[in-house]
Amino acid sequence: MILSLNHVRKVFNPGTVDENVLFDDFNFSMEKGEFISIVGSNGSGKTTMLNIICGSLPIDGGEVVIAGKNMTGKHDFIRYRSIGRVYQDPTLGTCPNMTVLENMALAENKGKPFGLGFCVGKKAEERYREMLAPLGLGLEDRMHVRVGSLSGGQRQAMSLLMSTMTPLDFLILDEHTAALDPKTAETIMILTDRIVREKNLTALMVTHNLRYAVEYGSRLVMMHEGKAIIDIKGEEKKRTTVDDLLGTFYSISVERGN
Amino acid sequence: MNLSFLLSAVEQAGIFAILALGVYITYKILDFPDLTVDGSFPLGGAVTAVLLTKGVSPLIAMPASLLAGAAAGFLTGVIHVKMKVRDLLAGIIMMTGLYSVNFLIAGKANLPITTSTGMKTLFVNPTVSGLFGAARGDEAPLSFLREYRVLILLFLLIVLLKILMDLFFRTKLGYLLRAEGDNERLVSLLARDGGTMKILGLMLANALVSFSGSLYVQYNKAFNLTDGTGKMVIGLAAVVIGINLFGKIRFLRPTTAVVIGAVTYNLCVALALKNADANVKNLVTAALFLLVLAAAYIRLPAKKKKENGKEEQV
Ligand SMILES: Nc1ncnc2c1ncn2[C@@H]1O[C@H](COP(=O)(O)OP(=O)(O)O)[C@@H](O)[C@H]1O
Ligand SMILES: [Mg+2]
Repeated sequence: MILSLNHVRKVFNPGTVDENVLFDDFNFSMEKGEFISIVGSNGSGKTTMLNIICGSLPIDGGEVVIAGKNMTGKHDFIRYRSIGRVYQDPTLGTCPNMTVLENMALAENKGKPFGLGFCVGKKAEERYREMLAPLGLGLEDRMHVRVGSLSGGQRQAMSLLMSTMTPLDFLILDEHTAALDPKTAETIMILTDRIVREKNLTALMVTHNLRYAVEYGSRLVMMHEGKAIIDIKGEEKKRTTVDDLLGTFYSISVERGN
Repeated sequence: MNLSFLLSAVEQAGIFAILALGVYITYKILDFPDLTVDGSFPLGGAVTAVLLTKGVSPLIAMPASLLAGAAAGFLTGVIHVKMKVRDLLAGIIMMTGLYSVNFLIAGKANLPITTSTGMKTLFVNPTVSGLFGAARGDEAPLSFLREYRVLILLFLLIVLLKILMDLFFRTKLGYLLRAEGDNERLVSLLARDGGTMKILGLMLANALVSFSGSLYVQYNKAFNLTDGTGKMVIGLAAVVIGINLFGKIRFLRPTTAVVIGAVTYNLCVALALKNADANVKNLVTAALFLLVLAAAYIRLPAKKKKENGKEEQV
């Protein structure tokens, strides 16, 4: 297992009237090479689960094991040595006031010591151009442009590329197409699938788009109130349709009486 | 207006340009409003004055002031990063504490550096005398530049520091420091501790500020406990003028723009103060700064949004 969440417990606002036991004895694991899509209604705990995996949120019980190492209680920046992550907000994955070139150089040095050597040379620039060209967004001709002046889609494509430039245990995507217009979202999704295949990545993708969840990935998980209520892969996943998922969504909503 | 007035105004501005380079690191690169400045500026002065009065060479006193400033910045960083105290408060705590520390270092509120009794400073020493002549009219290789010796020394120092800074910001570590101010979260994603970068930036910045304080006492031939008052504003004004006015010029690096900003601002203050009492200085400094901020704000389109969602303020 590349990732295991064992008996995880997470309580928000403990001891207050707003106490919310989101996860109680939550177990989840991911194998190397899997591409998991996670769907679920708002507030079902998808983002919290990713935050727990990355160490952005502490847990109240259980353990987080990554590539065989118990990472419970370890800082997020230590876990990111082997995790790539793309957020929903395209502004979070890049430095707006640095150029495309400078951002690429930062990403390439992830996991290295960041010493007093110069960051970019002519050779590096050529290398980055070659990495950017396949994105098909013309970024290779805008190497010296501030990333802040790029569009959301261009920035998200860069975030994606930057988070996968160095070797990873797995990639985390949290609704990374949700803030984009439908056409750009599609482009980014296709790009994501291509990068995951080409680099042979293990990936965990939360998406609000049921079609993406059905079409992409090797395993599908549906979350509800802090539990994985659907967890399918292989043939079963291939047979599942958007309508099936909608049906499940609908029956949950009926149960809840809304 | 006479030439010597202008000359001394430019010299002072040069000293404050180094202060401004420090403030540029915290305020512009790290996006950290660091009030340590009003304490670390006289810290460099106190350290320098004490060492010089003990007969220590300025070549040792000046690096010592750099280290003292770095230590002050380190503490501010630790208070903010490790003890989770808000940035402004961390600086205020340090500034307040440093006032007494400076007094303890200097031993008194006013410490003159009497070069006439043989103490050496960067500006008064045998090497400078050898190059420019010990007194007006002396035979020396550069005696025709004697009047400008302080300015020349300051200019060389500023250029050196500016080049070192530019080089540093092109290194991997320099990139990471810029990233920390630009998007903290990306630094974590790069598997680096952003807190460490903040501390490093505060150390570099306050080292420069303290170094500027060291030059300041050597120039004035005295340390005063109140030397720090208003220095934050002087640094900020220089950075805001430099970046907003001169930063728009394409071929100017931000560091160069900040230096030009410092000279512009301090010349304006000097002109405004020409015939005024020295104690009115802080009011003029503040009023001019306000004017600069107001002008810089008007130059922005209404409610321009920064790309990361924050409303842009100067
Ligand atoms: N920082 C927080 N403080 C309090 N409650 C939170 C916090 N983060 C998430 N929650 C709660 O946890 C639940 C799950 O949230 P989240 O993981 O963001 O859901 P999802 O990403 O699936 O929409 C929600 O009920 C939310 O209110
Ligand atoms: Mg979410």
